[in-house]
Amino acid sequence: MKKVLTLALGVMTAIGGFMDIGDLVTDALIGARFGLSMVWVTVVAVIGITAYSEMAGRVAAATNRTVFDLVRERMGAGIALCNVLASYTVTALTLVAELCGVALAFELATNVHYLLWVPLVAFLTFLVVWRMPYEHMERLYGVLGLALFVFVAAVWHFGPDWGQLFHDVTHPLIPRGEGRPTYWFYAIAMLGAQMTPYEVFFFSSGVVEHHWSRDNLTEIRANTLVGYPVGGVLAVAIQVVAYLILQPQGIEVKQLSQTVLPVVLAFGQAGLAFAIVGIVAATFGSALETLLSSGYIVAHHFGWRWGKFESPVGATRFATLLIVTLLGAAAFALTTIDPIRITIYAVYLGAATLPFTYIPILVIANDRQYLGDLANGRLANVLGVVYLLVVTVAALAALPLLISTKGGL
Amino acid sequence: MRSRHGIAAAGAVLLLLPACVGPARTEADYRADASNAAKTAISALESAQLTVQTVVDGKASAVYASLRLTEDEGEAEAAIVAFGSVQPPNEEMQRLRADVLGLLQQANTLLADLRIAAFRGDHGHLDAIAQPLQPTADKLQRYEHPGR
Repeated sequence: MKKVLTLALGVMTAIGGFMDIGDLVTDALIGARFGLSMVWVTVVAVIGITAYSEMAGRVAAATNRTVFDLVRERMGAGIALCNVLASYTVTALTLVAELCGVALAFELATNVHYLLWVPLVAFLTFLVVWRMPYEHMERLYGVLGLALFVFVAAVWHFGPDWGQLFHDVTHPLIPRGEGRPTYWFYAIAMLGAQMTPYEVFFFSSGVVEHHWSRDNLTEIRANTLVGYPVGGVLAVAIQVVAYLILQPQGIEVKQLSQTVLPVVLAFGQAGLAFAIVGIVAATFGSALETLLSSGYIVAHHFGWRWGKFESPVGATRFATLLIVTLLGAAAFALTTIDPIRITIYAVYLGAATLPFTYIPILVIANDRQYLGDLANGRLANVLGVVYLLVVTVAALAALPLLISTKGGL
Repeated sequence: MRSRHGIAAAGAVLLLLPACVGPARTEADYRADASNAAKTAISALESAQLTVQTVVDGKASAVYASLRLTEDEGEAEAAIVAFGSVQPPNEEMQRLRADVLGLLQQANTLLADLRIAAFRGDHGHLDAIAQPLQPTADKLQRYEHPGR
């Protein structure tokens, strides 16, 4: 019974962990602007993140070492350092977006400007990372994040024509007035939002933090194979309600408050309360994940002592890096830079750096010296190679599309 | 080493390029700017209408309604600033500028009135104040899709 409960909690954590500010913004924005023509991107992204997280988790369970630790050993310090720089930059930028996301959710509840909430959110993030045990931290936001299922309930409430929805999903068309480059710009943004590199780093580090081993492969597979796809259902639900309610009115989603507008129409203040709880949990959880991931990336590369199970005195460089990253992210958020724009750029740059994350994982997951009988099988390798091609094409197209569309305008 | 610096500088310039918005050089560019401004304002007006509907139906809290309407007003203001700062290439486009800016200003005033009423808690009158939103959005549609 205890094992089942642990499995269920882990899966819920993965579901909550899948959603972050990048998803909340891009799903609603794309649903309102492109209808259901990008649901296929969510399907592609969910399969990809599931496959690579399972690989990264398996590597960590088999070796008790994390991705960046093995990358340096297997691929050399130079290449690994480039990987660290790119991954740290994107993860820190994502942290800025997540801090803003929590602050925007507080603004939704209070109408107090989000910038006033940013320092408090940063302080809360610091407190939780410092004081709360790893498992409690993970499960609390994971379970509360399930409040976002209010978006799924809203889809049912609006009683859509399911046949039409299915047709729109399976026959994706670029809406009139939208150019092909803009469509592909947002397709890459969505891929980046749903295959965020930090999720893989965090999952892999979490396996080590939990002291999971080969005996815990069931937990690792349940978290990825169930958690992420159910998280994908949430993402599609947000796209669908935006498509049903916002697109017919010609509403462009530029604020988080517009993401929840369909839920308010459906369920009133109770719906809004659920949505706010879900958004706070999802974005706060992601702020913790991105902050810890930024520390993990650097600490694993340089071989520092790291982890929440280490006291700050025992892992001073790791702890200092976390504080500096958090202060830097909060300061950047306070520059009044548009939080929605920064979110779009963070997920977009995330997509551009995906090959840096995925190539080493695929290489190491095939190395029988490290993994023995847990090395990739045929299915994992086929998926791994196909997705490597997908993310490489997306990464190569990212910069030209960013310029030609003026950032998706 | 020098070539590495060159690549880094070129990369930085490429990344910053999308942030640069130059003056509209042709009529087509200017019409596209007008269309974008109209689209943003229509979105703000429609978004405000949905928000008012939630208030009238007793579904939205005063806090949420105030926030939503403030943001819609901000969007309309941003459209005025962005479009107003672009230089019209000829006299015909200057007339277009006057027409579009007039409508954008009208939209902004309407949204400001709604925001003020919502802040005062005057929810009973929001519906009446919101009446001109749709006609204004309809007029702006002519500029969003000039060919229609």
